[in-house]
Amino acid sequence: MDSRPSRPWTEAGQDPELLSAAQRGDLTALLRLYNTQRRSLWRTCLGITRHQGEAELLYQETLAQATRQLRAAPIHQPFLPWLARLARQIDTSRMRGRPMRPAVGTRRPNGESWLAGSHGAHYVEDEQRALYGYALLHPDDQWLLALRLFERLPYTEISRVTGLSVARVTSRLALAREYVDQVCRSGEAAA
Amino acid sequence: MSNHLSVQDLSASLDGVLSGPALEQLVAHLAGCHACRDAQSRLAKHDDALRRLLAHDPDDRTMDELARRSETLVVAIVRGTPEPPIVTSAPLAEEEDPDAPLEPPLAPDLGRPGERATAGGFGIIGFRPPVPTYAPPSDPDEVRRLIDALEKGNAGGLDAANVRANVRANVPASEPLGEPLDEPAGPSFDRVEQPGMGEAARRDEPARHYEPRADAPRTDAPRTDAPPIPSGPAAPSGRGFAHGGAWSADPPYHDQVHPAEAARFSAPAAGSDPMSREPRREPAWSRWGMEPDPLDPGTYRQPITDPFPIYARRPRAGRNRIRSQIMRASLVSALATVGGLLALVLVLRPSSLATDHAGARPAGSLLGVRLPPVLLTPHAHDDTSTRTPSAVVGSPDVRDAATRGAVETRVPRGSAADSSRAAAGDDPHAERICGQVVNMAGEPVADVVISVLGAAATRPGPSPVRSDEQGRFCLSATSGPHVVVIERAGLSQRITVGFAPGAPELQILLP
Repeated sequence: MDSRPSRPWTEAGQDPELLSAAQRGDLTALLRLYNTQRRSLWRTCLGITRHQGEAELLYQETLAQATRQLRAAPIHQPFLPWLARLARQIDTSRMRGRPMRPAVGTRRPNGESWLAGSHGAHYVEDEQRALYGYALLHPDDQWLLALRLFERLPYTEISRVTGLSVARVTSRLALAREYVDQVCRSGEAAA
Repeated sequence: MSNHLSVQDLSASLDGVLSGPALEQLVAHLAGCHACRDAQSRLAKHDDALRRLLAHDPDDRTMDELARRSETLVVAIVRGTPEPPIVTSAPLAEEEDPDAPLEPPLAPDLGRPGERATAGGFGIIGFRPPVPTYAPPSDPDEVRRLIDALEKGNAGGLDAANVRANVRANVPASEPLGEPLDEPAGPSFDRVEQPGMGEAARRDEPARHYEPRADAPRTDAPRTDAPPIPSGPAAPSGRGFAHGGAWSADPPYHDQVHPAEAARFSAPAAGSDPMSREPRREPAWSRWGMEPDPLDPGTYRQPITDPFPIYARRPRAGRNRIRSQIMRASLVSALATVGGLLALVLVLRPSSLATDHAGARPAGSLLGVRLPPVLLTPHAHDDTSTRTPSAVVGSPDVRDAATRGAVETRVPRGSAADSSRAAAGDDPHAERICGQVVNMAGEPVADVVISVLGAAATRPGPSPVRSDEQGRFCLSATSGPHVVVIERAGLSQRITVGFAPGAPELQILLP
């Protein structure tokens, strides 16, 4: 039986039971708790780092840090937002004082070649420009776009996850999209 | 005012949050506005591009492998055992080669021989591959049957495992080729979700193989700086990119945490392979004398109390030699400079002595260097014939003279009566010069101390003198050039004045 909630970002599902058991030392419950969140956490890490290797590193570091700070996890709330917030904090602290990651890597964020799986060089350029604009966004705006585009959360759930009002989520999402479009237009004009 | 839709409306329309009249109004506007349709399509295109790039779900096998590594890490943390190094299957961003050619990934079947060759140690300088360098023997009958089956379209009837087993049977046992990488993987991580599936049960499972993604690009092939040596048929490549340079097959990690994994990465028995070498059992960060940074997970730092960089702090022999040579040259040059200065002083000292009387060395001059040449004018009253060298030698100034024979310089020296006459100002050979001290505005300056620099014999008149209210003064000295010192408010100025009969009035201009 799949215990994964249909809305892992906003519905707790079995997270409170598993988390309570894990906090009492039940390793199996802890692994099950992590396993139910792994794909969402992976997408979160990939959206933060935009790089497969970095995402794998962040994924493991997040789970390791979550294990160390398990007693600080909220019990009566969904576990995934806490994990995602931890991942963002870890990445922020890791990148502090370091140069920003390359906005567009030598490969796609999933590790594939840029020409793989695309329809041609024209699409690759569009993708690279969009990724460049996304990378230049503020991390909070990146997080909003990730929740909307990658996790496909409605505005109300984004509002619950982030703590922002729906109006503010709507406005910031629109501005983030507009900024990405402006970056893409600049790139097209330069080309 | 613009008649076009705002970006908020366009963004909301893409997310489907508009409804009712707002949606109808938007649809009606889009139907007639090409610019807004274009803007909306552009936003939608960017959304799709970002989804393609970042909303990537890896396949179950890759996800299971990542979850397995994370599980090992979590178990180590919970049990308090040493944490294994964090391993990634792809290089980190800073480890990537920016000059790597951007080419599409190889087909899965094309990439495998390369991986096998790398796993076998081929292509590594200074490392002899433990696997045979010749092609494995083939069974002609088996190949013929395979070709026939392919021609007849009955390839499905062939048992690939039998073919592989037949081929492997012809290979000597001492020269394993290694297990193919596309063996069926072990139990999935998802089995953990089954109730009652405890940790101990999973530890008894057979070793799982890490199989890279079928579409993995070639540049994602593992590094070859520390390849594990295949020790038997079950030895896989088993290599991944390790964070911080740590190797994924570290025995402590596998021995203590995951025995099944330890079996996978077991080192070859000693003496089983003459070319075998001791695997590096220590993580790279440990070999480099670093330790994990507890404040910054994933990074490593030099230990505060670790005596690691002792040899680095110790100066090298070559540097010592160069430094001693530099010091020696500096010392020699400093000594030469001091010696030269001393010689110069000693050479110049007699000239000052020539102008001085005993004990009347001019103040403010460095051993007489600034003194102008002295005109030695013989006078009738000079009784030099009565002076004997022995009498001169007895004076303190003569004893100070080291190089030039001060006794040979005939210094005009008046008798006590001459000195008293000169002090009274009634010396018939004294020349008198008067003048005025003015400032830059031409106004007279009073109370300026003016003196003749020199011994008593060259100063027949009163010295120093002060300028009066009109700035006027008079100086007396023997005929000839003399240094006149003008002092005012702590500032000193020197000029050379020629004392001669009928000399014009001296005009001293002060700043």
